[in-house]
Amino acid sequence: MDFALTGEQETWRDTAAKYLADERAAGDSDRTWADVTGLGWLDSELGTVELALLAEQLGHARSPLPWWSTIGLAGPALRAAGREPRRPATLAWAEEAGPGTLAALLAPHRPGGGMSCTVAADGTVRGRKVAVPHAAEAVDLVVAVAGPDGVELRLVDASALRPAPTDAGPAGLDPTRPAGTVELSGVASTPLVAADASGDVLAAIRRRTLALLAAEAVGVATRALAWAVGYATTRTQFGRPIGANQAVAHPLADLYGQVETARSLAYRAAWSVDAEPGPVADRAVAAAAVAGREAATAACETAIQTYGGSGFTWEQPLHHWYRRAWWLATFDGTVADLRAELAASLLDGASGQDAPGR
Amino acid sequence: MDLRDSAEEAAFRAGLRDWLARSVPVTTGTAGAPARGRWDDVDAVRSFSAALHEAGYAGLTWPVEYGGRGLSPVHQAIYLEESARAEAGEHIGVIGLGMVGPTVIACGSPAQRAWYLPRILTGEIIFCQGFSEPEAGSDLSAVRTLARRDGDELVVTGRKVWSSYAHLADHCLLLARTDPDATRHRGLSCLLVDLRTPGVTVRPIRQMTGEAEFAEIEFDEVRVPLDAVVGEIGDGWRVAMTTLAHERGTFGFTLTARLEVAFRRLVATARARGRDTDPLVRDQIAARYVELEGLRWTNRRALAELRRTGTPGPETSVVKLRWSQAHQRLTALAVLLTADGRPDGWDRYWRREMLRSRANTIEGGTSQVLRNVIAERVLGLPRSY
Repeated sequence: MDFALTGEQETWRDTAAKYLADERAAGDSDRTWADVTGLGWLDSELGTVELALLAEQLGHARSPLPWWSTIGLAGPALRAAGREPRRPATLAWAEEAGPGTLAALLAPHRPGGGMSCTVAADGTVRGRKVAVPHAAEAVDLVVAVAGPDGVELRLVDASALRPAPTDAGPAGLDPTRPAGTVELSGVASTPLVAADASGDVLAAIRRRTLALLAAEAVGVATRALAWAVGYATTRTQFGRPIGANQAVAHPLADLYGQVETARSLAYRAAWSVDAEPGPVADRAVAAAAVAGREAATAACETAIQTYGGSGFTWEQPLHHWYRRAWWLATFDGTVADLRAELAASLLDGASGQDAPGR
Repeated sequence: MDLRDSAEEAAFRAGLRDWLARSVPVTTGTAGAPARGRWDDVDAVRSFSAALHEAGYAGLTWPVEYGGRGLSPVHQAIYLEESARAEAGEHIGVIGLGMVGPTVIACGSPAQRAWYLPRILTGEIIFCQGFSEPEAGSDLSAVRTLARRDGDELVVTGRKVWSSYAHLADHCLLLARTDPDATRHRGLSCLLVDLRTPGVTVRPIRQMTGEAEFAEIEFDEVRVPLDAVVGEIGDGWRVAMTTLAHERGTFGFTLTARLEVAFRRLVATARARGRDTDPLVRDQIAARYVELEGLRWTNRRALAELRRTGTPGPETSVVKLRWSQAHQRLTALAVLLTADGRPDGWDRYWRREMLRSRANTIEGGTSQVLRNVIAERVLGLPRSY
C-alpha cells in the first residue's frame, strides 16, 4: 500500500504544468495540438493516473484544449477498434429524444438504447446529435447509433459533415468548453465497436471521463485556492493583510481540507479505473466526481468572496475558472445524480461495502 | 502509486482478521443495535487488552527492544482498520500505547523505559494525560499547575480537566510549571505521576450523554520523585509536543475506522427503519459515504508522506477537522432516521452517539485551532489576531 506518486509521475506532472504556464499553450490550436502530440499526451502507454495528473494541470490552467474529449470520450472507442487517437476527437451520444447522459445510454439494455440515430446496411448514419463536446474542433467523431443488434459505436470524419458542426456559442457555461449539434444526413462511417461490446466500452468511456474530469476539477479548485491565499496574504485592510483575519482565513483552511480530500479521491479513482475496473471503480469514480465538483465550485466561490468586489469583475480572471467549475458540475448529470448512483450501489447491492485492503 | 497491500501486508491483514474473528466477543444489543459504551465493562476491556498483547498486536510500531513489533505505520493502519471492522474494543492503554509510550521511548530515561513500557503493553497500568486545565485548554503554554522543587521531590499543586479515562487510569502524564518565573512554554516540565499518591483526587465529569468518560484531577501538595520527570526539568514543552505529534500520527486511521463502522450502522439503521428507499435519505447516505471515502484515502496519502519524511505533517489536521464534521453529520442523520419513537435499541444508540459527537469539534484540538494551524502552517497565511 503506497499512495505516493512515483518520481516519474511527479516529473510528468511538473512538465505539463511548465508547458501550460507558457503563453504558447493558450495560442492557436493547430500548433498547440502538435505540441500536445509531441509531449506524448496521447500516448497509448499512459495509465489513467498519468492522464489524471495531466487533467489536473489542464484544469489548473483552464486549458481550452479538446484533449479530454479525445483521450477520455473518443479514445477508448478508437482503441477498442485498434486505432490510436492522433487528432482532436470527441464522442456524440446525446440526442434530443434519446438518452441525455452517458449513464442513461448505458442503463437501458435494449436494442438501440432508445436512440433515433441509425446506421444503414451500407454504413451511412442518419440522425442528429446534440450537446457534442468540442463538436466544431473535433476531426474524428465517434457516434453512438442504433444498429440492428443494439448500440454501435462508429467513426465519422468531421470533414464529411454537411453542414459542419457549429458551437452553441458563448451562451454555454464555459465558452472554452463549447458543445454543438451534429447533423448526420446519411454520412459515411466506419465501424469501431459492435453492439455486443458497446456496453462495456461505453462504461469504460464514462468511467475514464468522469475520473479525468474529477482530476480536472481538483486542478480548478487548487488554482482558485492559490489565488485566494495569494490575495489574502498581500491585500491589506485596516493596516494588516486580510488573511490575518480569521473570518477570511478559516474558510480558506476549510477549503484546503475539501480540496485535499477531493485530490485523494481523484487519484484513487484514476488508479482504480485501471486496477479494479467494474463496480469498485465505478464507486470510486462517482465519489471522486462528487468531491471534485463540489470542491471546484466551492473553491471558486470562496476565492471570489475573498477578492471582494474586484472578484466579481470581468477583468478579474476568476470567473473563467468559475465557469469551468460549473461546466464540470453539470457534465453528464449532477452531483445529485452521482449520489443517487452511489446510493444504489451502497443500498441496493448485496454487501454494500467495499472489500477492505485491496 | 500502488494502493494494494504488499504480499507481506496482505499476510499480516489476513492473520489479524483471522485472530479477530476468533477473539472478539459478540457484543450486539437488542434488535441488532450495538451495546453501549466501550468502557462499560472494564474487566472485559482488560482481558481483551491482555489477549491483544499476547497475540502480539499491542505496540505494533514500538521498537522491538521495548517490547513492540517494530512494524511500519502501515501495519498500524491495517490493525486499526481491521479491528474497527471487526468491531473489536480498543486496548485499554489507548493513551499509554499511542501517546505516553512513544513519548517515554523518545524522551524518557532508561529506568522509565524499563519500568513503564512493558506495563503499558500488557495493560497492567492505564495512563491518562494531564495537559488541559480550566484556564489552559487550547493554550497549553498557559498551564498553571505548579511543581515546586523540594529536595529530591517535586510538590505538585493544581487542577487538570478533560482528562479522558482518568477515573480508570492509575498513572498520568502531567504537564506542570516548574519555573513560575519563566514565561509561557519555557518553565514547563512533564512528569509521570502515580495517581494513587496521597493528595490526588479524581472526580469524573458527567457529560451531556450522561456518561463520564473524562475527569477532573486535583493535585494537592502531591509529592513526586525527581526521577519522574520525562526529559529534563524545563523541557516539558518539547516533551508535550512529542506526545501530541504521536496523537496525530495514525490517529486519523482510528477516527476513520470508527466512522466506517458508524457508516455501516447508519446503513443498517436505514434498512431496519425502512427508510433506505427514501430518495432524500439515499442522497444523504451517499453524501456521508463520499466524506468517509475522502478521509480514508486522505489518510493513505498522509501515510505515504509519513513514510517518506518520518513525521506527520500539519496536513493531518485536515483529517481531524473534516472527520469531526462528518461524524456529527452522520449521527444527526441517524437520529432523524430513528425519530419515529420505535424503541428497538437503535434510537437510544444513535441519541447517545449524536450527543457524544458534539465533543468531536472540541476535543483533541478545537476546529478553530485546527483552522488556524492549517491557515498559518500549511497555507502560509499571516498569524491571526
